[in-house]
Amino acid sequence: MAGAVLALTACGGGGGGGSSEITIDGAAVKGVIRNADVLVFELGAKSLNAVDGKQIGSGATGPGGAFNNLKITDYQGGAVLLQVKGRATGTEVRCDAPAAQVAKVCGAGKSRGDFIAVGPDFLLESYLPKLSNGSNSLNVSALTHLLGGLAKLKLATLNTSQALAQAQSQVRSLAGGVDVVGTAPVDLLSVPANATGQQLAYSALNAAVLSLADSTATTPQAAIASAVKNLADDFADGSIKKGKLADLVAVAKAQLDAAGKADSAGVLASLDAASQGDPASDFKPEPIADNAGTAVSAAKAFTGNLRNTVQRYEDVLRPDQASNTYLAGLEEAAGLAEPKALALFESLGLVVDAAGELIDSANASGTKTLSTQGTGGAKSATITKSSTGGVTTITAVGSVRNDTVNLTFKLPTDKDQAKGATLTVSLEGSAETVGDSGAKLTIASASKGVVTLRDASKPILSNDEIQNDFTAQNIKQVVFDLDATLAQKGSKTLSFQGVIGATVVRCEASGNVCSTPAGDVAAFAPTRLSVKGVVKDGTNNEVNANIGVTIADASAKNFNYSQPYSATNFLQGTVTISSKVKLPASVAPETTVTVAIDSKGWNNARQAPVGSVTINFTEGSTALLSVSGENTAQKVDITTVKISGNGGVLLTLVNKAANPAEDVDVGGSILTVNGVKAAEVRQNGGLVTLHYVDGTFETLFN
Amino acid sequence: MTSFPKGRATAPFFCACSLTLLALPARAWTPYFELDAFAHAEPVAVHDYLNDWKGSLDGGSDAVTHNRIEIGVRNDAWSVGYVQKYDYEIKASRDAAILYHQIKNKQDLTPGTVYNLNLRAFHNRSQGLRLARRHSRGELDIEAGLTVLSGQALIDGSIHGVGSAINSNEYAYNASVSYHYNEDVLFDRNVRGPSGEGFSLDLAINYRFSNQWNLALSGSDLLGFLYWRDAPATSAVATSDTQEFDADGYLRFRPTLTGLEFNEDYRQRLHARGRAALQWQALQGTRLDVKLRMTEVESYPSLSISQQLAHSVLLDLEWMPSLDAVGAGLHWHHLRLSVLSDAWRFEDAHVLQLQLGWMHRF
Repeated sequence: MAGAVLALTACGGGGGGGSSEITIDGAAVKGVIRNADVLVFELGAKSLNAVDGKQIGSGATGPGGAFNNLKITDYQGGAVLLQVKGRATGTEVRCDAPAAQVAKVCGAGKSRGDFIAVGPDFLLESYLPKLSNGSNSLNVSALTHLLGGLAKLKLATLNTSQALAQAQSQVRSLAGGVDVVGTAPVDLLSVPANATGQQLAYSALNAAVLSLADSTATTPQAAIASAVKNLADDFADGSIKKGKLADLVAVAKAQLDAAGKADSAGVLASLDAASQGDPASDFKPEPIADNAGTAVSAAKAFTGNLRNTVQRYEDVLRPDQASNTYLAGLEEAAGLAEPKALALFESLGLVVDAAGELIDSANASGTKTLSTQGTGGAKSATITKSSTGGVTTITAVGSVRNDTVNLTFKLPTDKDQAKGATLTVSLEGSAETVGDSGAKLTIASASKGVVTLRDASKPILSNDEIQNDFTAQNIKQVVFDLDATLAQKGSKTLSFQGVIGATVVRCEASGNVCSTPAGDVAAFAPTRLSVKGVVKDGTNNEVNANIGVTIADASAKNFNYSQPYSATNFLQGTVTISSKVKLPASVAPETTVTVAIDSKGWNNARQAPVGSVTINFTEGSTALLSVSGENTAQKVDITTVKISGNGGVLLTLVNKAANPAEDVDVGGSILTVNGVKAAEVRQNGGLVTLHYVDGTFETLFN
Repeated sequence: MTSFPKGRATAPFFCACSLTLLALPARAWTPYFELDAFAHAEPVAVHDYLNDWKGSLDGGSDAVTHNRIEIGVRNDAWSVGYVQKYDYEIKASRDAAILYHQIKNKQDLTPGTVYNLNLRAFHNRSQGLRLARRHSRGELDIEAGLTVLSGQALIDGSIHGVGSAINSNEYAYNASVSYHYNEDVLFDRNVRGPSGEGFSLDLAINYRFSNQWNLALSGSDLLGFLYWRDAPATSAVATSDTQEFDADGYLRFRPTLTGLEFNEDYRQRLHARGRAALQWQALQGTRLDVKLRMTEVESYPSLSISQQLAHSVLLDLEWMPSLDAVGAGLHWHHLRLSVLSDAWRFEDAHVLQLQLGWMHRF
């Protein structure tokens, strides 16, 4: 009985395996390698060595170097190494060395076309990042051997599959676009009638590699090993001297001529063109992705997400004109980083304006704008309060004395209401103020207070009264929270519920000038301000806005507001905005947009901020895109924007325009997938298209 | 200096020509030179056609230019010459011309207007060797020539579609483009110019009915092809209807332009063109001609009168009524020069013609 069960189990297992059989077909040519062992190994995650892997198949090369229908067993999905090894007897390699190398490589008295016996020390390798079910094409040549050498250099930061994918694409670019693993090289000394132009060019390059062999090499194995090593050493960083490439191509052309064949696919011609110029300069081709691989699919999915995101949030990201695409949006976003003086608040205003745009996006028919105009900027920093019946009313918080700041949520449909109107909000919890003798002033009896939002020109208390309460020495921090409901005129209700917080006011003037109000030039700066809450409209579309401004310790950075901005006197800090946008259900899932700006410097000549900006988009729980740009004091305009997406996709848009502040020319920018080129941007006037390596193209933005 | 035409097909031809010439009877060989340049742009002046259509829009929508230079030697029966050709033909729908002109000049569109967008472009630049044989029988002269060509530039393809103005500055469109080229003028693809070889047959017939009447017919590229290897090509579809809903019911946007770039061997048929002239020797020294210049896009009839002014000096005046163009020519000994235009200023001309010929007689 047990035997029957085992038999049935074995049958079942066999049947299951049959449905997903994996085989390998290929050819080993350097020239033709016949009667050699073929060994297949599944590699570990961090090694390209056979000893660290597991053998999953074996076979032998035939008279023409081919090995077909080589069966693979117990494959677990990892990277694969295929070795072609010489046997003790019987293995032969056809001499296809360039004429000048025949004697050295093939031995004295040998001619091109002769078969030369090689022993167990003969080894050529080839790799695949992953096997597919069914038949796999895996060929072996000097160039596939080179692939392994390059991949080993990448293992420090990548796993084997990633390293092989990158190396494979690198070698592909060196071979003029030919997939050296998937394309079968042919015997140039006996060319099949149906050989394609790519096969011929590949085979010619494969043979030409031997021209790089060390002069001391006296056997085919030593010659191949030294030639591949020399090429790998030169190409290790993905570049090769143009002079060496030109030499290689010249030998390859001679090989084709000797075979009576033309470079019909233009492979050698393209490499020849690339090798023109200073022989000592580098030719550094972009790695090219496998046409049929997943890289192009990932790139196209990314482009779709990018296009949809731009369309959906066009007002946010493309405020000026379509042709400016993301750059225009990012230039504006970079403006958010402007920390000039108390324009920090202005910057915040811009951030919140952006949030307002998001609100607009949420409901195309609405005209709602969320703004903090009046929060700061030119006017700033008088703290006003009143106390009646144990209830303290705070108008605003600012950062410089003798100015007034108010917090106003200005709604376009609320113009009649804004000036002089009183919006009552409840002050949740306890408000903290600062007393004469201590660090805090406590509102004694109020568990709830009233915050009056009103016009800035009408402070509730006079400056004198404030100065009695708050002096430079004792004001260290003021925080207030509010939970506000804003009712606008008309039938539609827009509400805000949330918290506004400010950590502000620090005297930075040298000496003790802050202690004397008269003639004081004291500088104050905010150190933190945040707005966090929810805005809803009448149809319950919702924006969750969490807006924060965080500035590094201004005193530690020797920032002095009373002094002009300069490269040594600028306000450092980060601005972040996180908004959750619920678009109409027919448009998109709920989306979170986060903008982070890091202010790092100041350019005196351009009076412009220096720093970086990153915008992240997440739809539902799926991270879609991350857009980032950075400028420097030397390069004030943001000329490079990186947009990354899922699957290792990275689009690097480089603006080559002579005047990047005014014009956009992103032609030549590259899209990569896991470091491998999958597409290139072209710009023809206002038409910006993305051209994939499989020959298809589409507009980058509509 | 023009280089000798490249291409494997040319070399054996040249050898064959050389052998043929060696075998020919030793007759007097005379050098000759011919230039024929013709350009006509219907919708705007030729100058504006080449400069973003900034001028006013006139009738028509097509544009043609044929340019040919030949230099060589000939005797009574044979001629061997080096030829350079530059041909461009654009045949477009009137709507395409109107819309393009409005866009280029930032003119307001008329909402609701529907435009049929059809355009066919042909361009060939090539050089080669021409071998011609002349035969006379009675009053009939026939010359047949074979030119082996090496291609230098290629554009061959079309755009078809429909556009409609939504408002004054926005339009909807749905169009497809398919073309082969050596330089991608539409999408700026970085390509290596393909190589191409081919041939062209031409024929010229002259028949003298009487002492007063003569008929001259000639045709170029009557049968001609350029065979381009690995010619770059692009096919694409453009649409403004990009909104769709995905499986989750969310709004998505297709790209406004999608396409495929590829290379393939391509046979380009050369566009034939011809000329006809019925000549009447009205008086001693005076001749009236009825002429017709024909292209695959358009035909151009004209009338001319020739007057002999002195020995070996002849003056031509020509009128092309369909284009209101006039021209003048001078024959002086072995030199012929004629020009024709419909405007005094080059910038205003819709049609331009320049012909120059010279044949030395020892």
